[in-house]
Amino acid sequence: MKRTPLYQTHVSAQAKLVDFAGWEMPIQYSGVVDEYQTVRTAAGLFDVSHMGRLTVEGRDAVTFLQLVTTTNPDPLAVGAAQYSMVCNPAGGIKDDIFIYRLAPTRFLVCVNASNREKIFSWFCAKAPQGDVRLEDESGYLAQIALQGPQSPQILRAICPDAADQLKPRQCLETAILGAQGIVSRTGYTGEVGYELYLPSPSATAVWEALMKAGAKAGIKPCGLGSRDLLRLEVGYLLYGNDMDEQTTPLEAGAAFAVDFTKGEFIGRPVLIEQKEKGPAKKLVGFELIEKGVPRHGMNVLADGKGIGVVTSGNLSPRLQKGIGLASVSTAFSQPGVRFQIDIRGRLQDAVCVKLPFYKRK
Amino acid sequence: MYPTELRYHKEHEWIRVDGKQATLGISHFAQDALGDIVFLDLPKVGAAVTANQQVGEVESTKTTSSIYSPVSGKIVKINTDLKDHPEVVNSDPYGKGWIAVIELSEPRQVDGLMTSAQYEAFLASQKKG
Repeated sequence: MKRTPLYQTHVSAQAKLVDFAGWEMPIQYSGVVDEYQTVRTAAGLFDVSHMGRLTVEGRDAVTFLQLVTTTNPDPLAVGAAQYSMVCNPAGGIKDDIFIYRLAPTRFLVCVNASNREKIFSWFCAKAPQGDVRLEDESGYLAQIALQGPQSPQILRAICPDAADQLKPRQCLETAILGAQGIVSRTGYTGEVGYELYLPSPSATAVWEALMKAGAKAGIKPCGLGSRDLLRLEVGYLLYGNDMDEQTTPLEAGAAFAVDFTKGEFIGRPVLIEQKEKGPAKKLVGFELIEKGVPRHGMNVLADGKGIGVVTSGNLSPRLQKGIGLASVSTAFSQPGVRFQIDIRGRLQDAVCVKLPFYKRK
Repeated sequence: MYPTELRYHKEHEWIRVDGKQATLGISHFAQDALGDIVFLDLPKVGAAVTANQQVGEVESTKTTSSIYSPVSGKIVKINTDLKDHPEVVNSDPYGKGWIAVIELSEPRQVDGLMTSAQYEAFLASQKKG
């Protein structure tokens, strides 16, 4: 199994490690619910170095990204970032990504761990004859997420410029404890937060500096378990669970990440047709009426007939209810609509709700 | 971590025998492996149970796991406090985190269950495997 530059830090802190997309990653430190609460009320630190980091550089970088993604990075200012998707020619999602504009002709693309090789090969295959240089920087860079209401003041201790300047979805190339890196105000938790991209050899020192700077504020190291719970409450999608190559962005409820005005891109003909007709299935949020825990793969029924499948589910610590995302027939995708979840043979009533389940005040 | 007065089952449940009744719970190993427990689907009072059959489910933030009865009999009591406080199964698996009381129909089944020393050896062997 692959290990991140912070592996020893996790072992020393007695984190529980699991195999995640071929990486030996911490699933929890102090406990999933405790870490969840810490991120919602103070700050948490996550090692997300398993994710992929690709750079796209050159005079034709914008044109290239317009072709291979569903969004348009052209209007992005230097130092701005956008959520986007990479589709196959059938409109299916190859990955959901974040694009950071570091310079007029230089972009960082953050991809999911499980899709890193796939996306890099796809990009290489689709690169036009023009001036586009692609690099997979994942092996040289570590990635740390600092998330929670206390994160601005914690970040200030080591990156005052980033802490003071960055607004949501902005990024800054800056020195992080003396090493050149990138800080972005992005995350996967629904809280104020940052992601730090830095040279692998600096990872441990930066992690420890953030832990120290956040000690008084109650910072805790967090694992993938709490990360999944945090993102589910905000309705953020998880690749491989909520969507895959058989799901289009429109079906995944991510129409906001598709720019039909920018011209041709891979998947567009299928997506535009689907947009006109309306997708047959849609990803929705739901809550269980009575206590229970929905899980990925469970069937969704209405009047005894299958209408969809649960793609993510858990018990929301905030709502104290079973919550989930489900891909259902569009006819059942309106908030307020009732359906049932087949929890190992027991049918439990659920109601379709508007996402997110949780919104920061 | 594994009280000597209890008997243990290979699916990581414990029972405490008191006359013809046995209290059922899950072991420290089970609660630790599951992580934060958020919900339990408990058996109904009066339900007949068979040794090695599922009697309920325990849900954690990470996964769902079956609760097996190590013995046969009838459920005479369930721990209704777990409805609002499932986390006590994590914090006190042998005390407040008990799950149900079973009236034994075949008390001799208890002899077939592991002692704490046997259970610890079993856990060690599982770890190696």
